[in-house]
Amino acid sequence: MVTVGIPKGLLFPKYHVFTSAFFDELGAQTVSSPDTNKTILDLGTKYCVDDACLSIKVFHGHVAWLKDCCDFLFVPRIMGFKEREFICPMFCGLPEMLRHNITGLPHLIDTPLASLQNDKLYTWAKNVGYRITHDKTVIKRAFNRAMQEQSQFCPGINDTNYGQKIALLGHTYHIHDAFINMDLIQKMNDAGFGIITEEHVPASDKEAAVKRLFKKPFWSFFADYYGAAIHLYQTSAVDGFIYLSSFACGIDSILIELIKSETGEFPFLIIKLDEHTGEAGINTRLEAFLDLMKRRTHDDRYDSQPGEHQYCGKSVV
Amino acid sequence: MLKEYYLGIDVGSVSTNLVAIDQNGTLVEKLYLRTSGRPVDTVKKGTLMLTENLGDQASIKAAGTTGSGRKLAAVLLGADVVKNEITAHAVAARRLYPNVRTILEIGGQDSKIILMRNGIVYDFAMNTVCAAGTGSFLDRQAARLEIPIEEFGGYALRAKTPVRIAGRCAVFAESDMIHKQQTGHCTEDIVAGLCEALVRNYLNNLAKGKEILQPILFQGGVAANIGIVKAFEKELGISILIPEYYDVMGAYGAALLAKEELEINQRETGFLGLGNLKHEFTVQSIDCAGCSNLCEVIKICSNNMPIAYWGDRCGKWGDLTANELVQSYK
Amino acid sequence: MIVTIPNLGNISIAAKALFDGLKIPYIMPEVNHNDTLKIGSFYSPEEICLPFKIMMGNYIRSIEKGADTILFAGSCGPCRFGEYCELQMKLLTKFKPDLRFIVIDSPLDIGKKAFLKRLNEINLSSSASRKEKLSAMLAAYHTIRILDQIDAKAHELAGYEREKGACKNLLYSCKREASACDNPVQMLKVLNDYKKKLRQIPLDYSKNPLKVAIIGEIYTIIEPFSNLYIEEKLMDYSVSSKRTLTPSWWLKDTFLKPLKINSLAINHAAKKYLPYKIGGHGRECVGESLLAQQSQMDGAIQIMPLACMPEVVAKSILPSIQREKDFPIMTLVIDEMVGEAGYLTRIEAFLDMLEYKRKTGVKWAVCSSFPS
Repeated sequence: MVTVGIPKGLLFPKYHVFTSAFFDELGAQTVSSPDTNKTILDLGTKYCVDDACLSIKVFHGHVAWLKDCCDFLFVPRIMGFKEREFICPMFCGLPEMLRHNITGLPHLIDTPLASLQNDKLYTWAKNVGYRITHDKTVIKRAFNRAMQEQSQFCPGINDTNYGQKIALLGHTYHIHDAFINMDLIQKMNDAGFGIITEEHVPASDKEAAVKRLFKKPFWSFFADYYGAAIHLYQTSAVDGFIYLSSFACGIDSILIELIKSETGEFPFLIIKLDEHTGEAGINTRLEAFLDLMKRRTHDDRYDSQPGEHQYCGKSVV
Repeated sequence: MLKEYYLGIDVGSVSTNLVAIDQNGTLVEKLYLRTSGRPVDTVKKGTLMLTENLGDQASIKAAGTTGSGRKLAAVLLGADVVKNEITAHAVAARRLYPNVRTILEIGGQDSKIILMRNGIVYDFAMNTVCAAGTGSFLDRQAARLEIPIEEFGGYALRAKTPVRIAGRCAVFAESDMIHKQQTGHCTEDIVAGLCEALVRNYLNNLAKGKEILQPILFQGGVAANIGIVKAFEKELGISILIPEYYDVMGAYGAALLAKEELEINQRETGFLGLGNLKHEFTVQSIDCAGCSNLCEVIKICSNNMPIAYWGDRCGKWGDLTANELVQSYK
Repeated sequence: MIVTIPNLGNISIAAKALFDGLKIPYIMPEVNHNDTLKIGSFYSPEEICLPFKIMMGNYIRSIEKGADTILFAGSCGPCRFGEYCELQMKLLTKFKPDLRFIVIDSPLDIGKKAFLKRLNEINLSSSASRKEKLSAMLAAYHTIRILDQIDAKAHELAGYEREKGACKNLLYSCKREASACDNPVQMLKVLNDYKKKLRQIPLDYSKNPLKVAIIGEIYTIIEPFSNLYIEEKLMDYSVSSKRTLTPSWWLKDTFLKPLKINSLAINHAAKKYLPYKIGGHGRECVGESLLAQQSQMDGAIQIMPLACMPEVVAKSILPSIQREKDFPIMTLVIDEMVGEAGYLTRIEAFLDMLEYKRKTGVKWAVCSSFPS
């Protein structure tokens, strides 16, 4: 039985249901790396070029961790989710980055995926499946099961039983990696704040909000995050925004500015992530932000504007 | 009987190093001075001090300069070779250890790694932006901890469990260090932690994807710090060598290059002599309004007479001949 | 309507010819220098890439001088460049509320109708006749083509010139004179004259200069200020340099792209190392380094702005090419913090390295014990 390694980085939290069901049905054994930890982060910073963003480095770490314990490594080359839409250049070149940065990798399953349209996705799945089995009916069955299971799964968060609600913006792989964001979600919940993420804003609302832009965004995530943020702001569905961003993320560098320019003085905390240890710094800023938010509702006045608290986590390894 | 020497000067932003080598390429005299933001004075003073140490019978046969102030020093002295510090360091290292394969260099304001294969530079990297991997950073932290920098290494060696300090960026390393101080870690452990952070930072920044092979030389002022040396050995898992003249390797390389230049090209030296150094030198920057480029041109005068210009893109100033220089004064 | 554009090296000169020919009032962007970057950075988000900041500086300066419309070519991903206009619009309208943006995007992304509408906006402000318009466009095309040719030739011949600085000086006066022309016909004449003059520069073909390819992100390699004038510096060092990515290359590439017959040689060369288009000019960067190696050049210098996404991918791949093909490649990452001293040191050390490599004839692939 072949073993397929599934790195627990980047889009894993979004699509792990699909991948594990798919490979399982194909008859392959899957092994995934552990949740991001110190070792994985250190491996990532060791192998990856310094200029890449944190998440790409973390992914390198997961791959380096897995490389000796599987026959295939599943590193889909995700070009985009729709025609003429993209994720980010580093996603497109990820398999090459890995191959040239880390030596001794097993075979990569890096079939390019350019669209999530059903027929395109199936063609892609056939290509991937062919690496494991040549039996077309098995691939078809695996695909159907994976699609079915994935459709019942929503990686987003939408807390209900809290007094105040904050939209947690940013890439899925920042939001769902508790090591990288230092348990941000837990901390917010403990402080009595609920969270909503972009997955829980209906697509039609997002699309409507995106229409404000001069140009139709060509980054799939960009449209989702921007649309969700603007919609939540306009409908006053949340009390503030927290944006989890990483240094050197090209999409964030533009998106944050665009959201800020629409929302004006609305409470907006930007947390910058890097290979850090400075948890104390994040805690201080998060607490300060949340305290101000509490006071705001309490006084029901806008006398103190939390404004923008940038946390700069640029520190170590 | 006159003895002939070759002069090498490395003008960095923190220190200025001078060496004199003899006909065999052996280092005879060396000097390590603080530049203190006054490179002209330092070069003048250093050269005079060095030649004084060489004795009455000495004559300078040629001079070479390197470091970020190499151009300035070259004008003051009439140097025969003006070389970048990477090549200079590599030349010096190869002279002492012909089979060297890796050179680690950490100076006051920058750090480098140079890979050598079969005696030639094969690959290199240099960090000039981030202060976290340089000597100044250590100086600063030593001052904060109230330890003389010379004893820094000793403290590191006495550490039992080095603390983990964020080393990616000088500002955060510092705040992290203060945090560790406040939580009550002992000075020894913090010092050792700083050394490890610097080394980790250096390797992550410069050595990524590079194959570090033995023999490894460690040069630059920071090589005096035994704490850093040990941290490198711990991180790399192999032992590293410290050349005898680790703190003046750049200057040594410049001197060797000057000697080589004269020998290969069989030409006369351009060295202006010590008398020239008694002149009054001034450095001035002028905004050239000759075209839309608006270059900032540096003008060097000796006794009020312009002797060199640079900084212009078009060559209007930089390419002036001796005669035109005199003209530009009038 | 008074149009302005960002400063993009030679493109600005050709754009001047175009606007003159179309009789559209315009304000030329100033020559980039430190103040441009300073003012641009002040109004830009900190983490955005360098070209954005310099362009912002250009726009603000031109707006101060009276420009009210910005003409800009867009792209639709996947690199950040495509979103420049969106953010710049937001930032600049705070500065000047009635500022207009005309963004020329590919008709495949914005639709043919929108595309024609945008073109028409420029068209309407032109008082030239149809025939004049056509000839202006043609002249602008020839301007950029000839300028790029002169550039390339001068950079190449700098290694062979008998009198040091001859090529550089000629290039300087050429651009100065061309920029001073106020109609496209005159400009073309100046350029053609200089093309001839370039052939008359005394050369010494017995010289065997170092040959270096300039590769990397297109803005930072065609706009000399952003790369700290690397090509001029190489000319000063008597190195023959070659750069494939030019404005005229870009034009050709853009028009041939829909037919999928653009940059065949580059893409073919890159195939083994980077088989897919990743946005920006990441694949071109990889392909060109391989082409440079095949054409017996001594080395290549990759130039990229800090955190440029496509170039980061290319940067990961280049060390493998260096190792496997025995071909030295150096990466220079540029942002506003770059100090000239360290930059020069790297360039000089790289050239020394190429020189030694040539002299000793050592094969690096052999020295390295990397398992490949």
